[in-house]
Amino acid sequence: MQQIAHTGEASSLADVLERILDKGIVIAGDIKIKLCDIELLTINIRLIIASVDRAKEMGIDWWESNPFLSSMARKREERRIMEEKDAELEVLKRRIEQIEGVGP
Amino acid sequence: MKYVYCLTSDVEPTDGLPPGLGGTKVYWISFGGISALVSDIDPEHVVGNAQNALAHHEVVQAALGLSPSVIPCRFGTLVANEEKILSLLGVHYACLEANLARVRGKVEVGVEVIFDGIATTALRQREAERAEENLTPGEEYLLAKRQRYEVNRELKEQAERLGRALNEATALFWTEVKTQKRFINGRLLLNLCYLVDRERLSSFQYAYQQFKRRWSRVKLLYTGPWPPYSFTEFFLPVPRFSLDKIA
Repeated sequence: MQQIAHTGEASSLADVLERILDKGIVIAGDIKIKLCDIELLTINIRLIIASVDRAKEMGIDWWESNPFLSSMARKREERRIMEEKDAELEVLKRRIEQIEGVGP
Repeated sequence: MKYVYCLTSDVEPTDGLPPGLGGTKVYWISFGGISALVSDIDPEHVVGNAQNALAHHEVVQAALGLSPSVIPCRFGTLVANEEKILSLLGVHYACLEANLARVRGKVEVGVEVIFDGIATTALRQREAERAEENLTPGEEYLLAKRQRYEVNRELKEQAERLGRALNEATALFWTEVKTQKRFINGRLLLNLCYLVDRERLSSFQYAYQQFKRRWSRVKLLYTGPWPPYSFTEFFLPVPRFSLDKIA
């Protein structure tokens, strides 16, 4: 099959952006959709919007809490995991101390 | 992660594809005759800039030359891994097959028309009224508001008239049309997107040129042919279960 050549009078970057940012199929996974506090579906839209400021104006800022897309969120996630591990370690230490305390 | 450019049918793997975002190699992941064009990328490199936008578009445009059916993905589509893509193709197979059939052998063509409020009769009438009357600031405000409403209504009517006429003039050569009207700084932008059979593209272009000659007082801009971006607007969630649960 041959390549389709552009024959338009005004195909510009603006035309390309209008199509690729606003149109076309949306594939998504892992966003939380809630209805009356019941989680119905977990999907995660991974759309990168051309203007982050514009997106924030529209109230779209979900990527800031997404560890895949935000380095701050990733650090927060890493910190949370570390804190969990510290807590687990603390519990284990106490259990070992208890066991050693009641041992022969 | 996998960056997904588009979904296609009946395609044979080739080395003739342009590089993807960040110069990455584009390849196919296929399931039952439906393929996803993907490249491996770090999500942090998926930045919305002109270079990436053009790279995305060039891959989709190249796919249009390799397959009769192309469903373009929106810019920034990332899926975790190959298994998720195969799950997606498998779970939504019927929907994808129907949409691929809908755009089979077809391309999108855009026609844009700008209508300027300055030329409207509503504006000329109101300006004449304003010049004759000695208006208070309140009356001036209300008159301006009414004038905007009347100008917008007249522009919409002009756009609808032209849209209907162009649809009729090219009716033999398209299967679907999408119309969008937007007001930008007192002007109305009419955007018509046609789904045209590739075999009838030159006939469509001829009919359009004839129409353009008849409507020479209006500035029309023709764009395309594009992959059918405007005719594949739907939403597919990635399945959360693995491939072995599809069958």
